[in-house]
Amino acid sequence: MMNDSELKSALKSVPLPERTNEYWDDFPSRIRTQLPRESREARLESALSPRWVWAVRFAAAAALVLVCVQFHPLRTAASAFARRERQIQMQLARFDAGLRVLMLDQHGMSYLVTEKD
Amino acid sequence: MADADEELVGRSKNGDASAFEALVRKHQHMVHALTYRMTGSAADAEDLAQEAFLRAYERLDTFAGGARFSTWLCSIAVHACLNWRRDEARRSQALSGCAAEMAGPPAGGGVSAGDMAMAEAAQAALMRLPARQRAAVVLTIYDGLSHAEAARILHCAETTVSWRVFAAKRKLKRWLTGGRAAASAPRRQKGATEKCLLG
Repeated sequence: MMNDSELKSALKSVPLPERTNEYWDDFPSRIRTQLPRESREARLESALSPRWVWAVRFAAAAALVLVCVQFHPLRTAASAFARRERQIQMQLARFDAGLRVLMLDQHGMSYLVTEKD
Repeated sequence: MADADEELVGRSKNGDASAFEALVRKHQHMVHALTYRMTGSAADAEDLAQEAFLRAYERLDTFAGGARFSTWLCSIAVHACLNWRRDEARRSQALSGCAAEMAGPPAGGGVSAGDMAMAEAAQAALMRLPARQRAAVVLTIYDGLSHAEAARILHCAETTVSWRVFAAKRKLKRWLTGGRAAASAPRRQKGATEKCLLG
């Protein structure tokens, strides 16, 4: 019975079939031509797509935030308040010297102006 | 070396076919040797090497980079060989084929008739092993992998690989010592020689 090293050398003595240099030169390009084209394109797309996907997602999120901010009830109220404040400022400008009291109630805006001496 | 592979793998993943071609060029000898040891036929080894590289390309996304690319590729090639559907006639032809291939001039030159006979008997004995035992022998003896590495490639326990190697060695020693492998090897056929020339 042979030992392990004898077996190993017997197995390793088996030669591989010889192939020409042309074979080794051609084999990689043969594989390349067999690569599935759609797979290559899909790979290329998948490499690019995350950027596009993230860009679209970011744009959508930004638009959503903008819409939420623009039409939020608090912002609408704040906007109305600012408009009213501007009106008051205009009134104040018109009655700069004699205006003493400015009042807003259910009847609208009323003011008291003192006459100049 | 591994870094170069990683870079080529990364470029291949991005659809760079020339990078994958470079990977094929680098590992083609290893894959051909493995598929030949597993099949005993130059023509089938070529087919399986092609299949292994194409499968590797399809599955590039699953290569995480934790292992060496060569080991990962080796795993794909071994499984391609294990799934290789062969009937008795094809197997018989492969046995004859390898005998015919070995009848040609060896790469090293200066090999005696006795050594050639032993090599022929060894290849024939290797082909008589069950496929999974042959895979264990090819990976551990020819490719020099540890039993743990071979187990990862064959998707089984390390003890299973150890057992397969042990069982395979026992059979090979018996066949090679008794000369049964040589006696049971089919006679060379004209068809087999033609098949080798195709490779």
